[in-house]
Amino acid sequence: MEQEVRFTRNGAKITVDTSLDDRPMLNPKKVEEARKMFANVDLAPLREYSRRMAPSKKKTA
Amino acid sequence: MNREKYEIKASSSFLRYEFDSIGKYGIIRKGIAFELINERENIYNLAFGDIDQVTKYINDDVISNNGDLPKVMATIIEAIFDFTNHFSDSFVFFKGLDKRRHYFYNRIIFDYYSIFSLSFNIFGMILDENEKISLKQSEIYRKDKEYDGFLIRRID
Repeated sequence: MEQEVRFTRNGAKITVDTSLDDRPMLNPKKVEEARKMFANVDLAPLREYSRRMAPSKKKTA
Repeated sequence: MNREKYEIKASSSFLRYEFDSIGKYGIIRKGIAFELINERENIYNLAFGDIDQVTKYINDDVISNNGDLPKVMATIIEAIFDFTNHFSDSFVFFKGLDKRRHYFYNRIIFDYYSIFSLSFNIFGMILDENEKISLKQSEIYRKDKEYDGFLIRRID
């Protein structure tokens, strides 16, 4: 069932379709493989990098 | 980003997206799905591919070669922007499962770097011999290198 229509800032038309809600689209085996890839990974250094980058990007915009 | 793109359907959760690729092999339904794979670090896996008409799963093993690659890539980018509008603190990870997909994702990042890097931090990710993410080998994306996968985070 289609509902709200919106446009991205780049002009793409996106229609919310509730028939997509809760539909499993991913093979559970592949999701599990992806989970294992990131098991015990600590992204704090990358998060810190993002935090430092964000204000400087805004200043130059 | 004025490149041509397809109309997209999105779930109300903003985790599922679909669009129709229209090309030399007709209309092929494509799916993009974001799945939380690490709650503590807020990492979502991006999967993209043809929607299997029977199982309705995304089949990311198939390259349909429908002759509309630039339009498909631009549409994926729009879905990523839309998802991260709603999940702005998340990391999004994507990688190719085989050589062709590997090339596909490397090409998307390479082609869209100038646009993408204004809104995202892009990290080039390397897997170790056990197929696990190696943070030691991973780094901030460099255009002159290929990576096993990509981790991106919205910054604007």
